[in-house]
Amino acid sequence: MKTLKVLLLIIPLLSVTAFAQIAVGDTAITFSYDSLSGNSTGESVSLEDYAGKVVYIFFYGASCPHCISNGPVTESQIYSSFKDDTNFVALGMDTWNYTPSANAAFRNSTGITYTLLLNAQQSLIDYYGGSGYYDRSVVIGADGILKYKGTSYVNSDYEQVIEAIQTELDALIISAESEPDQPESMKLQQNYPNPFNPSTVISYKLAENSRISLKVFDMLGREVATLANGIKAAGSHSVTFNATGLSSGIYLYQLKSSSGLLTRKMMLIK
Amino acid sequence: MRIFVFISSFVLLVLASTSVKAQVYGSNTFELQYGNLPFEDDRELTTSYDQLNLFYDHDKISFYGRIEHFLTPKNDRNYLELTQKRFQYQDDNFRVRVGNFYETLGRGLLLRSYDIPGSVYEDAYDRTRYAFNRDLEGAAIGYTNNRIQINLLRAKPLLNTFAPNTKPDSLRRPDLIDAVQTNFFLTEDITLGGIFMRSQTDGFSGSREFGSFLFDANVIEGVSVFGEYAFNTTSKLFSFNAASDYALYLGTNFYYNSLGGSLEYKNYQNFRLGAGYNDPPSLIKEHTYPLLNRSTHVLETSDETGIQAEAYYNFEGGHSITLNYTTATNEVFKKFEYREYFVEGYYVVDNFLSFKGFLDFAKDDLKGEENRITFGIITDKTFDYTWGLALDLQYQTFDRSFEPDRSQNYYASLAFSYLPDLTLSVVVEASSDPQETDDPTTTVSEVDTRFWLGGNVAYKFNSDISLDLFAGKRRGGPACTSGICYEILDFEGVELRFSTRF
Repeated sequence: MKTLKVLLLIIPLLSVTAFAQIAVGDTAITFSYDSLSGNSTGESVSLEDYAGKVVYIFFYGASCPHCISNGPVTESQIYSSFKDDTNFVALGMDTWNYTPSANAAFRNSTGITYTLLLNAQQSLIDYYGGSGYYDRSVVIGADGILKYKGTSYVNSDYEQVIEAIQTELDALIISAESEPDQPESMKLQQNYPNPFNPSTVISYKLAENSRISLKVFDMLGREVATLANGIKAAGSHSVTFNATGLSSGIYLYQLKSSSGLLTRKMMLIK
Repeated sequence: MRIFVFISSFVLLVLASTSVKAQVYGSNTFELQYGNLPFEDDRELTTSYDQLNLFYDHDKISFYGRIEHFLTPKNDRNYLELTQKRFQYQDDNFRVRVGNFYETLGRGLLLRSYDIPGSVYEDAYDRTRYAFNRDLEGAAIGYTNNRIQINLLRAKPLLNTFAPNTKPDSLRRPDLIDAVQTNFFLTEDITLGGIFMRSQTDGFSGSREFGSFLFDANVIEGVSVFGEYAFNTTSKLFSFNAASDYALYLGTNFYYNSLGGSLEYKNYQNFRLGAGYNDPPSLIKEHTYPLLNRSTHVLETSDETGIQAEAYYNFEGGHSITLNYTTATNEVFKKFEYREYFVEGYYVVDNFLSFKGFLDFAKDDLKGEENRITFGIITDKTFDYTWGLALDLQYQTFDRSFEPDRSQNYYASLAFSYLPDLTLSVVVEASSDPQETDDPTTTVSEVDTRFWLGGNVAYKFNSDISLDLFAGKRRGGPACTSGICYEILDFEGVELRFSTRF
């Protein structure tokens, strides 16, 4: 009977929690949060501010140990690879809603230089449906669609994140440098595969015999390889670029002739 | 619906049982909170949480069920769930379990489950409360004799960052594990073992396979050595580099008369499995002192190496001294080091008066804390075995490289006990740490010293029924219990806990 008495204490009420969350392919849920400036609050930042750009988001907890341990990968591998691209922006979002000082400590420990947003837990609920997920990467395309939603810590899937960002940036380049805009006298194809390691094939087409050069540069403008230099016959050409010895990151390849200059980007991941 | 089926079945089982061997017992924890709900405009909230554990034993058969109930004025957070249920058969050699059970493979490098009795976890977003455990849901069969022990299991570990009312249910158990563990008792003093485990995670194609070797030996009188090496089967065996997935744990315990100690080594690489169902030994001193427990280092299995050395000596008269040294290094993409030196002394003046003191020096790169010094003294005085006083004073200070001033934390508690049933205590904490805040919704750094003041009444009606009442403001932060680390939320208000066993 003692058991039954205890049971009677429980009020029979049953309901469920089904937090909404978005999936890859859905329109990204907008947000607006104060940013971290120094050790205090900075200007407000919203997703709409970056319309037309590829947005990378790192969901972290300001005092979450593995977020601090894994945070440097978002800076050294992801942000550093794309930070010079004006079509790219990275945001860190504190989902533990900790103080500006705690976020300043997080920034100091991780070495993150991109913008950190405060009190952003609501976005974690919007994107993941619960506050139990953090230390996650998300990529939003320039069209405002969720393109990538990480399911593990950021140190585990950063290569997939880089690939997703590169794909979105490539799509922008292709739409901006669509084929009809290329001069009739020559065309430069997107390298394949891309991203690559350690080699990739670059193809170009010449309408007539031309003196050309095909060179590879890093993001600082330093020439790292010359793939072709001299007079080439009209028609299609392909050359293999071997990046052994080079570090991971974005590189530019440039086809130059008397009739113009064509440039594309490629991504080396090691 | 299933909860009512369970309760009905349980009642029928009890009524139908006429055997004197049958036994029904259980426990209940009821918690009522009125207080602060951060992160929302509507911050005052009354909630109640109830956890009922029921056991039915009959000879070699037993049934178990746990019912949890959470009630707030906000319907979308409320739940009444049968969160655990288990059938078990056990004889001298075999044990069969179906439902929710607890099993740790080896030393937890591959799989660890746990239940911390009486603990209640609180979700950071909406403060939904639920039992803090990591059970396995599935089936397990074990066989043991004097020479060999075999365990087979197929189960889904709980991801306990989600409340029981999370839908769909599958979110709470994203991993499926198949495992077999075999231990060979070569002699009374030497045990060798091996584990094979296959893991599948929702949303990921294919499965991952892991193996493990473990040993445990009493080398000579007073000296034992033990260890485990676990690895991903796709990694080269005994290849201890950053590209491999492995976890290596080695340790030794020793004692000689009143002197004893331990030395342990860890080396974990790419070894956070699934949604996080493994917990290799952390090798971090788990302090009971609030300021130190809150300053703990949380294990990062993606990349962590370190050692822990401890020695103690027990003097005549009950006095003792303990020394501990701990290091942990994380280097996923940047090196972070944790180092701690700790000494603790206990001095018994007489049957009515004792002192305990400690001194701790540490650095913690992950938290950006340098030259962290913590010390404290606890005085325990009883009067004529009828009432007693305990005074606990603790202080902590540290540098953060980018902050101009040293941060300071204070802790003081005074407890009055009318032995053995009633305890009244007051706890006050203070901090100048700019990371701490009085107002969780603020985005402004608070620079003044912040205070937490709370009072507690604990009363035992008898050995089975007890009551705890807290009122005031409680400081949150990281905490570790039995090697499991989690985040305690700040609380301001009144909390009543009523515990019964029957």
